[in-house]
Amino acid sequence: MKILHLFHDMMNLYGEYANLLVLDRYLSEHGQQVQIDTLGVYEQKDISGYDLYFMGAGTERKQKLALEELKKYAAPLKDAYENGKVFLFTGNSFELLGKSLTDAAGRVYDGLGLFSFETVEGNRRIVGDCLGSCALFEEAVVGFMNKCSKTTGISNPLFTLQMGFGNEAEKGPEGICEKNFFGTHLTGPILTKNPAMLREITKRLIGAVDPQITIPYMQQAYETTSRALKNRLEGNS
Amino acid sequence: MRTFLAILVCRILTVIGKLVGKGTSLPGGYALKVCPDILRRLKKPPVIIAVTGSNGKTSTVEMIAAVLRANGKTVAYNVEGSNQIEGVTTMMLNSCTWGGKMKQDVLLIESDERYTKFTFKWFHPTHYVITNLYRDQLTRNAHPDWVFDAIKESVFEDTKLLLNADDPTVSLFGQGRQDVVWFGLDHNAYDSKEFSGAYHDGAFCPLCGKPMEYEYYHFNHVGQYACTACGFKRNPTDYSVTEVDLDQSRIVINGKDEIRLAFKSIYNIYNILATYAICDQIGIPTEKAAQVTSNYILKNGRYIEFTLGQHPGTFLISKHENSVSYDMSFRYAAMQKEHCSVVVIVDAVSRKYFTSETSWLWDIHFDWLKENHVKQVYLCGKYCNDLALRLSFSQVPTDKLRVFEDIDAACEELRAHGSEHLYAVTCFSDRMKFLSNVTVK
Repeated sequence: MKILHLFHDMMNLYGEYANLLVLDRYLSEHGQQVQIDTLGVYEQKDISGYDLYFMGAGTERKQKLALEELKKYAAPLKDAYENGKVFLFTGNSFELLGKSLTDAAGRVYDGLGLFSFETVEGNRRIVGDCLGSCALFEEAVVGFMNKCSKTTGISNPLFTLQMGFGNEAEKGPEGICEKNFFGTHLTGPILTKNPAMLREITKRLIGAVDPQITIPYMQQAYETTSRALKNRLEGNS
Repeated sequence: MRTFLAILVCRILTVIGKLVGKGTSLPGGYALKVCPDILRRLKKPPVIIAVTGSNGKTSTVEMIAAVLRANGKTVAYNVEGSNQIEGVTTMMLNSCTWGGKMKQDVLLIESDERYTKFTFKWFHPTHYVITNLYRDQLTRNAHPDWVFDAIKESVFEDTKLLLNADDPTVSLFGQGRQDVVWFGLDHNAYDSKEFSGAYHDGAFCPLCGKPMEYEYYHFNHVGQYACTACGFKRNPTDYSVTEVDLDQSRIVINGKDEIRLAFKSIYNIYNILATYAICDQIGIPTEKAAQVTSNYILKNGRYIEFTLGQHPGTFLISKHENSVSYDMSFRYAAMQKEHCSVVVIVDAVSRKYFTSETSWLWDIHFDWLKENHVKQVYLCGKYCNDLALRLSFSQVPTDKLRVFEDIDAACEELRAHGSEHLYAVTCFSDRMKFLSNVTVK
């Protein structure tokens, strides 16, 4: 099982490396031999042949630097996507794969064009806790968002938010799920926070998961946060 | 007339506020409604010092005020927790005459980094100290670049900047300016060649985005850096800590003034250095600043000694959602080399707003606690499982972990067993949940 962490050195806004730590442990417990490689933002190497490509969020400035460098890999990334490889892009990293990205000053950057959505940044910071649902599993999704953009033109969102800002508006559709591509503005270690999401990504990689295998403390931590967010949503806290 | 009315409103509300135990920002808020440009109208002292940055504001301001007062200067300054425009307004209107004249020698302002632009829209500080910029309360602050842009709007040509040369993002405020006063630490025995931390916010040049190289690190991304592409690098310093000896609890500034440390942390050293620099800039003899800051014990409750059962202990205030502050506390505990246990409490992530966000735990470098002399690590509070999950991916052996949702129960166990030194690390929001269980010295 080969995993590539793209631009781990620059796109690391908020503990996102932990997604791969937990995925590594979970896959290993399933008997997989896991190899995690990194691609530094100014590194050049062959990125074909991986089973999963992961990228985390960055500040708006770093995201633009990352965009220019990622364009060099547009062809292999497109190939991998077409061939059903798994992608997890968190925070503003998934914006890079759309048609265009416009910054708050109005400057337009071309995206890699894997998808046709467009993103426009503004001066309003959208930051806070999120609670949502996902069509792929029953459990609620918890997370944290930290963005200043709106993304339009997504027909297959990953989540539906009950708390937090979606792709274009308060609450509602959030992120993108196409084939085995998972993109979400939820930032940080979303796989450590959401056991169901960890299972879903793992299923895409190895076909099925063993329900007996769990990561210690993970389920309890998830329940603490999901309970806190649900209480908040119902106005009890 | 409006000036008078605003002052009147502020003072009446302050009196009422004191009676009902309410905060210090509300009176200023109402005064600003009565007279939005009241801060411009006031006649202000000739010296206006502002201090902003992620960490160290409150401590630095407290020490500056102490030095100034010890040297016969009168000072008006705001206390912690009232560092947005409303709190600053309350302080200024309660410190002036009914005619709107501030008679003090110095106006000293701790300014919230994200809101400082609103305060200094109405007047400019004569001196502006920027301590550091870290990932801090992302729930409010987004990220350091976002905060940089917010502070930038409060930096004016007619203000003298005093900048931490060791922090690359802070140094960027001095780009293209000639009159910047730089402060920083010289290379010392506690530096490392290798980066230590869960993330490296100095990996890339804040000016051009290309890789940076460090000769050494004082901690996290703070150290001696240079961009490999554009020439951006640490500036030579006007005020330097030329010697550090933590074992002897002493530092020397500019090769001449020795200062004893009441608290042996690198943070404390930066706060003292900033105090020394600003005081010299406004004409206080350096030996006087050294005298007052020497062995200075902060009154803001950031460092408290206690006992719990047979355990002596040290309470180190850190800030939730601020990984560097935790790194510093753990590093401090690790460096003491005596047998100890560490208590970490995350119960309410914030006391000011709702959040259940725990990503920041992954940004903390818990590996400091892997040392053999750290006997056990107690993980306590509502988010004990998040802490335990995080620690289970660190180099801290899992058999050292004790996980307690109930903070009182953890304290009960400690009271009944053991006598090693304790380091208790948590935030303001959870501080009393621990301190109510111990005897404070």
